[in-house]
Order: sequence, then C-alpha cells, then structure tokens
Amino acid sequence: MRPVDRTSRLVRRGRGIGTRLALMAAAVVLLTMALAGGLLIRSMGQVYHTEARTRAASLLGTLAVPCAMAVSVNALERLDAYLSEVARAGGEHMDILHVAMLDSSGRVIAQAVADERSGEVATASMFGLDEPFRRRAANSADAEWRETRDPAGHLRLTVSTPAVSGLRWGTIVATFDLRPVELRVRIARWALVGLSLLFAAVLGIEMYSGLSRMVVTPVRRLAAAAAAIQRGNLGARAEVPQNDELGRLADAFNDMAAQMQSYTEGLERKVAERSAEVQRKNEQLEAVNAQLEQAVAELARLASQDALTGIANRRQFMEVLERHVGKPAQPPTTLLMVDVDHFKRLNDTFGHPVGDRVLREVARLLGTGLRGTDLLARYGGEEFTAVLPATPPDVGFEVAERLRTAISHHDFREAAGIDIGKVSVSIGIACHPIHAATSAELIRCADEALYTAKREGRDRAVAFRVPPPA
Amino acid sequence: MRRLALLPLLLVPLLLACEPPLDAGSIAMHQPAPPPPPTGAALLLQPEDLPPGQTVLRLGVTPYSSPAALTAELQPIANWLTGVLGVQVQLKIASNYEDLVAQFAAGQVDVALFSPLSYVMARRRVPDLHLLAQTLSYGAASYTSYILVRVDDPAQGLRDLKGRRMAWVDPFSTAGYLFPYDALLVAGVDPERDLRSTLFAGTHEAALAALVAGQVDAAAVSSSTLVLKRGDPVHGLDLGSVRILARAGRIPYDATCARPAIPVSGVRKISWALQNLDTRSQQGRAVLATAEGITGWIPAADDTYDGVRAALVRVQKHRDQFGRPEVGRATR
Repeated sequence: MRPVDRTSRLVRRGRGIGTRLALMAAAVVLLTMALAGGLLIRSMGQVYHTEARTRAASLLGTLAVPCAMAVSVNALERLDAYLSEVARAGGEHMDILHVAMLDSSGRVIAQAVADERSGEVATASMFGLDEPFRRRAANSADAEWRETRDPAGHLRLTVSTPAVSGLRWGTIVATFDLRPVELRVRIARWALVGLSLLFAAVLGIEMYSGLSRMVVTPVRRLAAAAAAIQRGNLGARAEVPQNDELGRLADAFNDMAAQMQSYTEGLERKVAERSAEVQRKNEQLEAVNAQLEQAVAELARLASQDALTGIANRRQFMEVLERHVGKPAQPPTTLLMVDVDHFKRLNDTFGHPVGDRVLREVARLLGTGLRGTDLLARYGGEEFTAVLPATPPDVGFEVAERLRTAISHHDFREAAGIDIGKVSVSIGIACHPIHAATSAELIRCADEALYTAKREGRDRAVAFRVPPPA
Repeated sequence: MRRLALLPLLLVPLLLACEPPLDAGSIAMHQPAPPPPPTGAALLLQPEDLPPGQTVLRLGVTPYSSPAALTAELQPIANWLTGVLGVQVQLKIASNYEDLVAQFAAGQVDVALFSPLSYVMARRRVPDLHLLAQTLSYGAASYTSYILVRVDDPAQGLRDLKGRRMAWVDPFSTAGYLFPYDALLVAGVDPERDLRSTLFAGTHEAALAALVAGQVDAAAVSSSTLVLKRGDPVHGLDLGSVRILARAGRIPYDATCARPAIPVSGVRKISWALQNLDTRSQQGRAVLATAEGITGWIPAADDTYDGVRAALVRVQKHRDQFGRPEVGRATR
C-alpha cells in the first residue's frame, strides 16, 4: 500500500462545495434581485413621476377653459379667483404651491399661492418659474414640465399647459409639492428592498437545498468513498441513486473501485505467489550455499590435512606454530619432532601399502597420546611433529617419552595386516622461547635433537641441548 | 471567492442609487394649436375678391337685441373689418332669424353671423355657402344648455319635470329650445304633452328671470348666460337660488358664413381677418368690448354642427306629430 501523503488533496482544508454553492447561489440571487429590483424601483419611480406629471397636466387642462374664458373677457379678478380656488383645493396626492397664468410672451398676468399665511409676497421665481421656463412654456404647444428642488431640498414639479379654448388664451403654470410622491416612491422602494431580500433569502435557501441534494451530497459521498479507498477499504462504494451526470460519475467511480479492488487482489495474489517462489529459491540457494560452504570447508580441511593420515599437514603445522611462536610473553611451547625409525627398510620390505598403513597407525597412536589443545601434523615422509602449547620442556619430554613408549609397545599386526615386527620412533624436543626465538629456529633445534636421538641409537626421546659456549 | 461574497453588498447602493435625477420635458397635447393666419396687406380685398361690380360688404346679423343696441355692439367690428379688408363693411340687421336666412339666400347680405340653428337652416337653403369661421364666445368654442330649477325644487331628473311649468327662450334658439327639447324627449318627457305650461321668454336672461321669480318651475338657458351672470351681478339676479338640473348637448357657437357668390380668394381673406380679431390683444379687446360675448373667431368645419342637425331632425319629427310648424319657420 502506498504511504499516505499528508499534503495530498484529501487532507485539504477550506470552504466546501456546499458553502461555495450557497454563497454563489445567494450572491447570484441577490445580484439578480438587486438588478431587477433596481430597475423595477426605477421604473416605479418613473411611473409615479409620470403619473404626477400627467395628473398635474390634466388638472391644469380642466382649469384651462374657465381661465381662458376669464382671460377672453379680460376678467382678471375672476382669473385670480379661479387660481386661488385651485391653489387652495390642490391636486390629488399633490399640493399646489403656486399657480399662475402667463400671457403669450410668458409674463405672469395672474397668480395665486397655496399658503398665503407666510406673509411673503410670492414671486414666480420663488417657485422655479424663471424667465427661460416661462418663455418655453408660453411658446410650447405642449405641456412643459420640470422638476426642481426648493432651498430646503424638497422636490417640486412645475407643469405648464396651454390654456386653449378655441384660441390659445395663455399658459397656465403650476408648481406642485412632490413630497407625497417622493414618500410613496420611498415606501415602495423599501418595501421592494424588503421583499427582494426575503425573496432572495427564500430563493437562496431553496437553491442551496436543491444544489445540496443534487450536487453536494453526491460529491460528499464520492469524496468519502474515495477517502475510504485511499485508507485501504477497497470495498467502499459511493451511493448516488441519481440518474444524472453525478449518478453516472458515481457508477463509473464504483466500477473503477471494483476494478481496482479486483486488480489489487489479483496483484496481491501474484505477489504472494512470487514471494513463495522467491522463498523457495532462497531456500534452494541457502542449501547450495551450505553445500558450497561445506565444500569450501572440505577444501580448507583438505588444504590443511594430510591425505594419508588425516592429521594436519605441514602447512597447517607451520601456521599453528607461527601463532604460538614469535609473540613475546607467550607461555612456553614445546615442539616434538617424531621420525619413524627405519621406515625405508620397512617400505622396501613390505611395500608401500603396508608402509602407509604403518604411518596411519603411528599417527593414530600419537593423536591418542596428545591433549585436545595440542596439534599433531605430518611433517613429511615418515616424519611427524607435535606442537604442545603452554608446555615446558620437561613436560614435553614426558609426553614424548610416553608417545615413544606407546608406539614401541604397540602391536602393528592388525594395523599393517601382516607381522612387521617392532616399530619405534625417535623424538627430538625443543622449546620456545627457551631454545629458540623463532619457529624456523625451533624446528631446527627440534630437528637437531631428533638427529641426536637417531645418532644415539634410535627409539628414544632427546631434548635439545644448548651447546656450550664456544 | 472573497470577491463574490461582496456582491450582495451591491444590493443596497444599487437600490438606493435609483433616485431619479431632476428632469424636464414635454407632454404632447392632443390638440395642437392651428397656425396663425396671415395679417396686414395680405388681407386687403381686391376687386377680384368680390363679385363683379361689388364695392361694399354687407354683414348681416340676427336681431337678438334692439337695432340700436345691436348697432352699438357690432359697429366696431364692422369698422375694424373695413380697415383690415380695405372695403366698406355695412352692418345689416335682419328682422328675425328666418329673415336673415332668407336675405342670405337671396344674396342681400354677403356675410352673415348665424346662430347654430340658423346656420343649419341656411345650409339647407344654400348648400354651397362658405363657412368662414366659428365665433368664440367668452373664450369658449362651444357651450351647453342648462335646464335650471330653483334650489329648493324637488326635481331630481328631467322626468320629474312632467306636469311642471317650463320656460323656453325662443323656438329658434339652439340652447334655449332645440337642445333642451331634445333632451326631454330622450329622457322620456314629451314637451308637447307632459308639461303643464310652456313660456317663450324671448331672451336667456328673461327665461332665467322668470325662473328666479317663480313664474315657471324650470328654465332652459345657454350656459354662457350663467357663466356671464356669475361674474356679473349687474342684473340683480339671485343665481344662488337656482341649480342645474341637467345639461343638454354640446353646442358650437355661431357660424359666420359668406354667400356662394363671394370668390374663394375673398372668402379666405375675410376668414383670416375674422381669425385675427380676438380679445387677446388690447386692440382686439377694444374692438370687441361692446360685442356681447364675442371674444374671437376660429377656423370652422361644417361637421361641427352635425349635433345641431341631428337634434333638429329629432325635434322636428316629434313636432310634426302634433302639427306644429317647422322649427325654422317659427316666429317669436
């Protein structure tokens, strides 16, 4: 199993799809509502303002005929009365602040203000009726209007209507207080803002729950299944019972998981088989190795052993001797040099096979008389050596004497197969470091002692004697 | 994502930013004003603008007042026309409505000021007459007929006038007879049988005075009478004692016509001259100061008087059942 990468995507933190979708849904809904609401409020405001203008124009239109009639007979006091009456009565939802009749060149020929209590002398310019507008109104065949703000910032609507009754007798101009209209627009605006927010909230929640049901829950299930599979539960599947893209994705995911599970199980099975095979091969290899080691050991043994007698050969003897000799502060090591007496004659008399058997029997007898720590080796021909570690020369001599005695008293008939008579050995003894400091010197000393034993009549053990100083 | 979360914040400024800016504009009127007629030398009548050999223009009027009063009222208009047209305009007062139509048909007057009903009659007799202009009276192109009762009268509608006393103005009067007669017929009141008594008062003011005085229970008068009287209490009539029971029809004011013999070029100049005279200017006010109710002239069309024509047909048909004389033939 691949180790889990802790920085991988499955341990990421942050807003989930659900939160993001909810935010996006709310944002989209709010934005849409804001745009639609803004446009709606704008057009509603325009409708209210258009309505106000139309009402104002129509109010002035009804005033046109009586005013025209008054003007036609130059009854200005009657005109004043009409205008005052209208200014007092006002318009529907709109208070008239000022109403005036203009002549053909835009001059005010009569006017009335709604609130005469202020005591101020009303002038047309107080109500936004400046010269340009009066001229425009007097010359236009249409109803002219414009919106202004009074010094207090209140919105006013000034509307003019041609006073036509057969002829154009003048122009009626009135200024209306638009505060009630503004209030209506403001109330409508806030009502719409409230409704928009409510609608956006409901729609957002509805969209979120819908999206959650359709998208977020399936995606979470897919993510959970993927995480479970990542943790090693290859049997995990995503339950998405929808017949849409996510449903199809879940089906594909589940198919993929099933395939992965089957593939992984197959792979594990193959790995197990391969492992068993490798183990088997290892075991075989180990067996071969063991054989090889055995063969190597045999070879080593053969390299250090004398083929005829089975004891150490000269090479091993030299190695062992070298280990014990030449190192200072070592306990004394005694070397025995053993030679079979008159062996050439024995060989010549009874043949080499008998000679070999005799050599083997001598080696056996010598080995029997030695300690386990001692090394017996065939030095060459009928010559043997024995290295006796931690053995002073006197002990070595005793050992040599015992070995010589054992051989000279031994009956070789059984070993040789025939009666060959008495077999004896001569033994030279030398001791390190008493007699020699090196192995070669020790061998020479032992050999010299052996020669002495031979010269003195054979079948004896002779220790190296230090020659008297010249 | 963080930017996205800021989007809802746009809502508030967006909604608050909808304050419409201060604006101005026009609302198109349904009846555009007609172009002003030419003035000055273009109006001077040339010999070819009049019938061959004719050097004066005779202006015929109905005798709705005494000849002396009428002359005083209308002579300034004739004088003004003389100055504008460059031709002597003579005032010619007919003996009655019928006489004016007859003189007009006979070519004894060149231009006539017809009441609406007289115009319909004249058109019947002289189909190819020229309609020059329509009079504006008290600044209005049309008026209506009021059927008045006293304020304490129990009548709530025209049907309540059955068995009551009624004052008409004149059998030849449009607002004082033809239209209220038609309105009673439409309301199911037969003016010939259902009224207890009827009175022809002669003038609108006399009919009104008869009602105020209690000589009748109802009076049919022109609306302009009432408008005028409201602002003009000289006659001493207590208008607070009467109320309008019903309005009858919409009547165009008087039609000014030229006889067919006047050439079209002359007709056009006379029409323009009339349309140039109104009370909007100081000069116009001076000329029309004595003319009762006339405040100007506007271009006219024959179909304006179709309503009068239809009412006349209905009323005449009804009167025929009772063997009454033709409306136009009635005498005061």
